[in-house]
Amino acid sequence: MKLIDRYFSRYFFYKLAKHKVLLIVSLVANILSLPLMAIITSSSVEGIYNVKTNLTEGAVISYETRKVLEGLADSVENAFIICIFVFAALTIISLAAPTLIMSYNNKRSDSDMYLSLPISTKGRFLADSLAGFVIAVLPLAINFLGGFIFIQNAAGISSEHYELFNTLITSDIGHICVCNAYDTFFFAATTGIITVTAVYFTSLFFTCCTGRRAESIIYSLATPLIALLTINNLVTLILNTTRGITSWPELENIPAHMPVFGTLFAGMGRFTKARTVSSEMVPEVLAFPVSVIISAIIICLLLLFAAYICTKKRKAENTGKPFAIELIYKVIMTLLVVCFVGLLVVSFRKKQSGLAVSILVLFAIYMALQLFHYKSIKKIPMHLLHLVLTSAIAFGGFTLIGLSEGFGYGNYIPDIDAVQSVTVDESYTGIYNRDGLIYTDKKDIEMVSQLHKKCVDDNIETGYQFRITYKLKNGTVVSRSYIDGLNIHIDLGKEIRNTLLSSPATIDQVFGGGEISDVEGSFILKEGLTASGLSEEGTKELMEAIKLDGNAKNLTSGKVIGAAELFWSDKDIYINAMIDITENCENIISVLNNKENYVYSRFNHFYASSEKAAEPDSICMSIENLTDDDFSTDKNFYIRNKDKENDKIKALFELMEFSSFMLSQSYYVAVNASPISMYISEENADEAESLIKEIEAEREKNGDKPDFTDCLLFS
Amino acid sequence: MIKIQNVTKKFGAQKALDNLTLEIEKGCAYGLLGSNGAGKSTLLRLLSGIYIQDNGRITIDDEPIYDNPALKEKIFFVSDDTAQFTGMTLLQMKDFVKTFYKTYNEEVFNSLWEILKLPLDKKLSDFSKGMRRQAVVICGLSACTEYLLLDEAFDGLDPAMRYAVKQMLVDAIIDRGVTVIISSHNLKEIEEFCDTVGLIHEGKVIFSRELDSVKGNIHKVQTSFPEEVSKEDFADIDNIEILSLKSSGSVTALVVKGSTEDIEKAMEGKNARFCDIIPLSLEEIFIYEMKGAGYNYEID
Repeated sequence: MKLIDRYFSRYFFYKLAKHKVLLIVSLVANILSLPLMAIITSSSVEGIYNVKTNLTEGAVISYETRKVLEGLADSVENAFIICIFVFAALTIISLAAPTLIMSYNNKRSDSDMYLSLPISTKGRFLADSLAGFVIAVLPLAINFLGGFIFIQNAAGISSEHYELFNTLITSDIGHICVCNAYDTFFFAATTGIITVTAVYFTSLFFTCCTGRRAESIIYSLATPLIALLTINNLVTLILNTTRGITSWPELENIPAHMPVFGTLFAGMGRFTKARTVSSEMVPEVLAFPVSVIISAIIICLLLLFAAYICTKKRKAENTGKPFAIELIYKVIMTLLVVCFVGLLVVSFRKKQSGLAVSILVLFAIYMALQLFHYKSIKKIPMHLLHLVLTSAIAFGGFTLIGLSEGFGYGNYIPDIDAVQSVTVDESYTGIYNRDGLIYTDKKDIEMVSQLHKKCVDDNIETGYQFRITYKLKNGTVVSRSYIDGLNIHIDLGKEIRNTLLSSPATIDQVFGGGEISDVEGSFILKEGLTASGLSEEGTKELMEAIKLDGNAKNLTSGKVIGAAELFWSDKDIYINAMIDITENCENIISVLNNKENYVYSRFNHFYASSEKAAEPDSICMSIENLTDDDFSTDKNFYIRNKDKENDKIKALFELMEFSSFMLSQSYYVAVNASPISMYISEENADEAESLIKEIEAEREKNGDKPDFTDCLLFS
Repeated sequence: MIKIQNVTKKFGAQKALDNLTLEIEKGCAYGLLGSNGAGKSTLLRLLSGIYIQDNGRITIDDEPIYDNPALKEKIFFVSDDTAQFTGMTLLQMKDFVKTFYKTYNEEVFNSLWEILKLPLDKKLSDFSKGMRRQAVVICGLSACTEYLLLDEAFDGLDPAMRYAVKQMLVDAIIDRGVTVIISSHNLKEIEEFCDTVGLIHEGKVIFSRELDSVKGNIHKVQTSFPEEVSKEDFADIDNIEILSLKSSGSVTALVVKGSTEDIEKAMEGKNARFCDIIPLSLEEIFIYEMKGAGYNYEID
């Protein structure tokens, strides 16, 4: 141990000195990277400080100022482009560093030199790993630390300067759009450090298990992708089969915990998402969950350990061979086949095209790697046999999981006595609570369990629209999801909605909680329509009315005469819910009728019998043909001539059905661009179509055919 | 002392060393002989701790060498390939050795450098093959380790430099008692430099003896018999072995294993008209031994 200590530091510093060029390149590349580049660029912002002040005060921007701003925008954009190259350079350095530092693993002459030195295998491995880490990763970490100190100082010393920096970095120019300097900084730091570190440790592992530089680099890049795809396919299949999860946000969780490509893709996903959400939500979106960082650290440590084991196990004479540890190559090739077979099975289940192409790609990649590895065509029959056998076994495995519904796991329904609580996530039938509807009462649990049983008995497809999560008394969580498209399962959808609505717990949770400050609602009744926001008092009144009607089971009994779609804010979250209004909903109808913004009392007075109504010309009806992807078939009616078109529009309106629940329909209708759901069913489609044609013909004849832009402007 | 006991080293299915047993005394100059692929370089790499044996035991001063940094400090290995040093200058190479061998001696380096006068600041990639080898050897000698392992050390050296390097090695043996193990195809160099030689063939030791004993045991004999003789005619004679017999006219040339006395006695017994016993060079011994081991050499 003493000897390791003595030569460890000598060896470590010798290696750093030997690879000083790489270290310098790494440092320079880092200096050019995002945070410092932005800081350097930010110094030019000072020159336009006054411009910003003028802008804030509402001053008119002069041509010169505009030019300055555009110049700044260009420089930031250029900085970003440079940063892409810099990041690529850093990735290449991370990839190359282990193969250069541990050259004795891929050059026979170097193995003679380094392996005969008086340093133990462990000491040499640790010193080399550390030297590589210092070269590839440390400059990046130091760089981010420098950027952080700058931001801190900028914020502390000069708030104006910080503001300018913030303005620069948050400006939505090109692709540089993130919220503030801190969020940008931590996002870049997390993604960058995780990715570069993971690339480094992956390359370290492959340097230690291969015998040639080419293999080390090829497999360092290919294997994480193969592993990511394999696990993603497996997870997709298993989750899709057993829990019905198909949406990316759910599936992203596992790949995001796989460094290199997983983290990078997750990072890109977050970055893209950050541009579409409100500024308050950006920090939440951009921040990597701690679990991702912990997962990256664990995987890197595992790779380090595996690299050490490979170093201990590898024999010096295997230097120069494709793989020093042949077993790893065989595992990778098997993984490659499993990955592609998984891809095929998942594609097949999702009825995606391109199966033949996938098979050809697998064959080409597999054979190319085998030939590159063995450098002999004599072994082709053996490779083909391996390919066929592995594919058959993998295919069998995947198919078995699929057909057996995850070996029965998919159809498992917990015993209601063992259930502590059950949460239902249900968004498409209009009953919504952002945390899901939680039931603890045994009656309610039984009700949910029966719905679950119906899904299983009716062999309902897995999906993500109706998710049941049981929390068992022993702490186990069982989660299943069903129905990939409620419009296909109308009866079941209605049953789910009505069953859930028949529980007062639902009404309480959806309409009874939170600090609802404002409601923007669209309420539509067969005999009338209203669309407006409600006052605080009106909101409370409406919610109370919904609760009363809900508890009286009025929402689920009687003929549906209309629908209501409600948007309300609960703290920072916007929530929406859709409910049907039946003829029994006396409380809701009463509230709506009493409201001053219940504008249109009857359809017969569609054209403003009330003084408070909007001008008739502002009424716009847009009809979307749901059976056709060609948007040119969508119709927009801008009612100009009430005298001539009144009857036809009225007739068309009569053909519409109101429901908060998605029906099997031919047309979707929006009135005044309201999001309220109105449909023309298949039964009425022909009649509606002939009416639409008549209206169109009439308009064409009169040369009066408003376009969609007009409609949008009005709405 | 180096002890190699029943060592086997395989490369795939091929056995590079096959149950090899060998002992090398401390302080000797050991010449490792063998045909191409006999296992000489493999043995040197095993002795320097680069390779690990599949079976058997290798100890140096009673300690196993593999992954033993303390022992490795006592050993310097000069590979047949010097490509690893091409990116360095001689000064950098010297510093490299100085970093890892606590026994490194600057004075030794300077004195050796004085003899060869190699450029100090020029990269070894700009050196000739022979100069590179000289550079590596003087660095190896400057490390002042107890064991110096040289794989094809004289390869690429001109006669003057060969002599100089040989002299340096001899000095190191005499002055510091270094154990030098040298593998070479140049048997003349081994003959001039080594006191002990070992012959390896197909991973096995054919012999390992002091050079004088090796040379004293095989002789070329020129003689003339009244009648034609064959190898079989000598089969019943104890203490000698006829390795080769060729007749040209009345003169017969034999290569015989055995002492001069026994050979003379045997020739007399066959009524030889005269008997000239000529000592064999190491090269000739090597070839005859190899032939005896199954190698199909033809020698006149």
